[in-house]
Amino acid sequence: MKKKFTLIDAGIIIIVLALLVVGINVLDLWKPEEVVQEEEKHGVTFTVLCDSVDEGFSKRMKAGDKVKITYGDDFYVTIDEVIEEPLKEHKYIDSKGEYITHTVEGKSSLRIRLKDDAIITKDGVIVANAYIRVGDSLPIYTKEYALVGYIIDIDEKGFDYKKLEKKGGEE
Amino acid sequence: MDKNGKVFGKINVIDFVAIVVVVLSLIGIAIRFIPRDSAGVWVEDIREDVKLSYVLEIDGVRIFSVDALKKMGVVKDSRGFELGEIVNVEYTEKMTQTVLDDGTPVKIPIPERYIVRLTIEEDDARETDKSYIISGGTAITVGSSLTMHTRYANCSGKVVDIKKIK
Repeated sequence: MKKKFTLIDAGIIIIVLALLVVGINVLDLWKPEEVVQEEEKHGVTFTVLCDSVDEGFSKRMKAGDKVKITYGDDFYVTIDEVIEEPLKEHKYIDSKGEYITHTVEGKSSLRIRLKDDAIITKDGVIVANAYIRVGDSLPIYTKEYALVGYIIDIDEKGFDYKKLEKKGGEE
Repeated sequence: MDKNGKVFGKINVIDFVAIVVVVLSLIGIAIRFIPRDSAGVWVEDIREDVKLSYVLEIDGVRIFSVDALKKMGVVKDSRGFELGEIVNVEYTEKMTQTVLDDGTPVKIPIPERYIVRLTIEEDDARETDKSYIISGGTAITVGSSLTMHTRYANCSGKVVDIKKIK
């Protein structure tokens, strides 16, 4: 059956479109004001702590090696330094009513300092398209090994991020 | 809908859909255009703009997080709203209570775990009849959980104190 396009149909289409526009606007209400951030590239180092790796693991790594730090896209950073220490554990002893600290045989803790030309903004340091912050989990891998640790330190190497704020303010 | 295509036996189904769409449109327009402040609060609900100082307690973090938080600065939520600026950082060892073999209760520190208390000042808070609201429309009260980040650290904790400064 062939139907005529009526005024009511046109009205419905207009109302649906209006509803879509309003809906999009309503959702936008809950976003903060868009701010174009000043940014600058600068060399940074950040340290990742990997607990409970096999003793001697650091022999697989050396300064200057490129390692991948994302599961998806290919983002590589460079190892600056690797420090291996015996893994320490704290165990509560009932009879003493205190914790004792002991080293775990055959296991180590790795502190891997990585370096990269990062993007620095007022909000932080961007490596591999994402802000890195202390406490973030980070994978480190090559074709020979894979580790997961968490970031314990970020060093902007003397970069004064406040100058970015000033630059933004001047514009 | 009956066999004649009428809803409730009276209204044509197309008319019914049109009515529903018009009603939804009106609701959408009302939500969009009734005035709100930057925190997303209905203007009618706002009693006054206030400056708040609140303390966020972060439980059981390692010294690395403490060091990162000691750099202070602005705190933001995951959507990018500024939730205030850290003006003071205090930390203490995290304690646990235990009972010795002879039955004596004692409190002992948990190694390498700390409780951090951040004092945060928020200039653009709102006070309504029901709550204090910080940027992004987040209502806070003692006991609220907040997840935020500084330039250097992620943190989530519990609000343990709120004071109205002005």
